Amino acid sequence: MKQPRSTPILSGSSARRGLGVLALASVAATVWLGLWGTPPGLNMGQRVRLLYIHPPVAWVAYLAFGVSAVASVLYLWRRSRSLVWDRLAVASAEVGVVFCGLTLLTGAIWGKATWGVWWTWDARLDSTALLFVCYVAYLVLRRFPAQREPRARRCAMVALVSFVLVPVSYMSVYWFKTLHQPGTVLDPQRQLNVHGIMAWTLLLGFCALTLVYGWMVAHRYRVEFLEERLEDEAMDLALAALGEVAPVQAQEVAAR
Amino acid sequence: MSYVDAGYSVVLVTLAAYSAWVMRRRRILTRVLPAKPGGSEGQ
Repeated sequence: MKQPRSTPILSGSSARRGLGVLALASVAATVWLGLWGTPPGLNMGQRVRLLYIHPPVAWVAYLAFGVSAVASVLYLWRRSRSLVWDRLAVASAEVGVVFCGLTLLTGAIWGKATWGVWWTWDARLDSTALLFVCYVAYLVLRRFPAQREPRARRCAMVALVSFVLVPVSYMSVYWFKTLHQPGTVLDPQRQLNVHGIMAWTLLLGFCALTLVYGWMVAHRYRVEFLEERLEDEAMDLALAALGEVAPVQAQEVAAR
Repeated sequence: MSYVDAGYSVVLVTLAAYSAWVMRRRRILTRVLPAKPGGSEGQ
């Protein structure tokens, strides 16, 4: 009889390796095209090259928080409740925090290059920073010592509440008067703002960083699974040690 | 270093550092935990 795998998803090693190689190759191609293979912008000059990394990084942050929110809903829904969703939620949220931090950093660099300041109090920047802080708080909450199920439930609710900021952050440039341009890739009429090789490089950037996200989540999920197993093993060892110590203590008490 | 170089460097270095950190955690956990039948920890 075929034995069940110890993890139901994301454990195929060759698939993960293939994903890693594909992600690495597409990132290398994006960097090459972004830095040398595309022409400078008509208005922005060389600074336009930041276009190929900043929007893709921001997209992956939104995607990661979206996946975390969907996994949290699936965990909270009784019919699909499984720790698989909890692990996926935390893996995706942690990778999302990395990408959200990069969104803020690359945005600050682009802001300094175009506006002359690293940071300004602007609706898009503020909502993205708030999003980052909320998900950092989610990760801190994960580290509080608690039983697995209540912790997973609590964190799923925090992930869902935090996700509300994603559409707010995306739409902030349309809802408020901001310094940040309305749409870097699409204008308000949903028409492409970039064309030709620049559009293809941008598309490659989106695909490359999405692949990197998938590869990172696969590994981070595995780490979460192994950490849970370590917790279980430590608990078994502690109970076994207690089982050996308790009879000795009982004999001492009886002897008194 | 131009702003463009700084932007690309920040992204590449951060992603490489985070990947290395996750892989290191995974390697340590795989080494510490005994292999389970049917599991793929050793991979």
